[in-house]
Amino acid sequence: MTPRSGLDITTSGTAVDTAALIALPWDVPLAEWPESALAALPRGLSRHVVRFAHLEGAVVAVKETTEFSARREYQLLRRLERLDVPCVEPVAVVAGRIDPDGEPLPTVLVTRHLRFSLPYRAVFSRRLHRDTLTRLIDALALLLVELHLSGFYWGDVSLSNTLFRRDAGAFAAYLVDAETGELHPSLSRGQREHDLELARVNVAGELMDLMSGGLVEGDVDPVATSQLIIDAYRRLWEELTADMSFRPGERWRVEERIRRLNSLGFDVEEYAIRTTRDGSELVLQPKVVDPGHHQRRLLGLTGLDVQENQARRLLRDIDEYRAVNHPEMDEHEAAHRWLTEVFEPVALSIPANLSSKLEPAEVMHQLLEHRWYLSENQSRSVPLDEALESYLQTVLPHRRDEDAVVLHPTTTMLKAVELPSENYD
Amino acid sequence: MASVELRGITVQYPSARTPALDGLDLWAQDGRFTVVTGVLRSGKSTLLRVVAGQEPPDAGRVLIGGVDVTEVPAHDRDAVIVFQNYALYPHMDVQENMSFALRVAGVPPAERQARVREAARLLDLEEQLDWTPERLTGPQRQQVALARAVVRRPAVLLMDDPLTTLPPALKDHTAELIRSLARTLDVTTLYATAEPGPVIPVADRLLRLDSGQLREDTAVS
Repeated sequence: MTPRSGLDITTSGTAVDTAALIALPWDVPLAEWPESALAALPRGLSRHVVRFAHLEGAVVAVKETTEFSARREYQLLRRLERLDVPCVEPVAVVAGRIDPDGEPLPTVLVTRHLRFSLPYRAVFSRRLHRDTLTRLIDALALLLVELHLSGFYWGDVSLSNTLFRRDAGAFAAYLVDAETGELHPSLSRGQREHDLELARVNVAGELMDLMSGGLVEGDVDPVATSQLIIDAYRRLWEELTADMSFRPGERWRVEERIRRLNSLGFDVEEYAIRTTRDGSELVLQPKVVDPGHHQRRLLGLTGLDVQENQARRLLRDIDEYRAVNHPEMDEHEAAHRWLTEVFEPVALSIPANLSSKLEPAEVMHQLLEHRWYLSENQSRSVPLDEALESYLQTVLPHRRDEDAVVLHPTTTMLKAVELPSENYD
Repeated sequence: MASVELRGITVQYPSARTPALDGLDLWAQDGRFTVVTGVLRSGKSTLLRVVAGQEPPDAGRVLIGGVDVTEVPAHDRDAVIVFQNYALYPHMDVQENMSFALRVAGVPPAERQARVREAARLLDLEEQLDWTPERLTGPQRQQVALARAVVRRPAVLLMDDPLTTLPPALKDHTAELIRSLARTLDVTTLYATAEPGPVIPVADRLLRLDSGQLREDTAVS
């Protein structure tokens, strides 16, 4: 398709192959795009027209909006990306669209679909269990803390505006919609409280909706449950930012506090210590805390870039591997050996037809859980090879493909998109 | 009486070089539609948050209906910001979509129902109350989204540029709805926007902010 004159595409140098982007049918209203260009067709209640399209073997979300909104959200997502905030990847803004009759068409924002991410309505197959709900809420609270630490006021906090990736028994949350957001050097208490109130009301509404659809298991009080996000947020915010007083002879408490934050998954990049007026005590205040403590440690040891809880789980396995097999080795050497002798053989053993079920790191986590389960049942230490064979035969084939599940936030449609096989090579 | 009065309000965000609101004095009359305009970061949204109780001022007092509410928490103030979330929930009918925030706020069922019926009448949604959202047209969905604010029956309605992210077709319709509501409802409204054009026909006053200070105060006839 030849692009019409006047097409104005803004994209970063590395985001996408521009030729592939230009080839999309920009002179056609998004609602009328041919099926051949689409990965899935969301129908529904959004005020914007949104479609999922194929682009270079990946899936992108294309949203028609105003030029002002598209450019603003694109720039905001790029800034968030640079701050390492978990969010969808902005690909392009396409303005200046006109149809064959010369009539102007709305500007679009293009974002890349996050692989193996799930909308909240897709994390359960039939009904949402209470413990799954709690894990979703915990993940959203953690995301909100991370956003607020980065100075991002969201303005529309909800489960619908979030994508979730499995993370070793928990979920990792990613921001999807930044349309109402603002990025500041830091946030005031009022800005944070406004986001929390939005979260409380929106999550309650989303739960009431699921209950109306018979999609929640058992009795769940939507109002009380939505309050959990506030509680989880406040607990974590307090842990990360509150002052801690200690006596001059208790300097070990600084180390203790930092270890505590590390265990929560945060590194303390900068902290301030001041004395109280009478000089009897010191006050420690964390100034810059950075999520991803275990992620960074695993990345440094093995080069694997995974979610925080997956990293925590894999680091534990590396420690066990080292203690049992190579206690003489230093941590880096043992981690490298674990990578080549344990992780990579497991990742390579996943048959191609099962590779779109879960990410390799999540497979590894589940395999370790499966081995523990088998060992307990059989009252013996089941070797990893044996557990792997069992897992690949009895567990993984029965899971849903989660590589490219798309669900527009305000629709009830769910579809696992088929991707070209070379995508998994 | 639900006039809004700000006396010497200053809000200084952490790390910002200049205050978002800088000793601002402002008075919005009871039942009138006041448009607050200004460029990006002029202080418009902060002003609304201060009135709603979501942004505690560093200095100054906030009065609603002549009562000092500076220390009153947001949930106990009679002022509501129209959320920018227009998402409708697919499994809930229109009535439930309109009233869920009242349920979150603990309003009893009979009271919720009465308020929903009143808002439905104002927004011409009476026949659609038991419909699910998928049966609604785009403009009708906007009506439901606005009805969510109306059912709260606030003494002060705060609108933070509700048109800005809407596609052109819905923007015109929603502007007309807001104009219609402004004429019908006896509620003090503060409407913040960089583009006041669509609501000028119903505006009583136009205030222009710049760098957190009031630069112009014009009566609109």
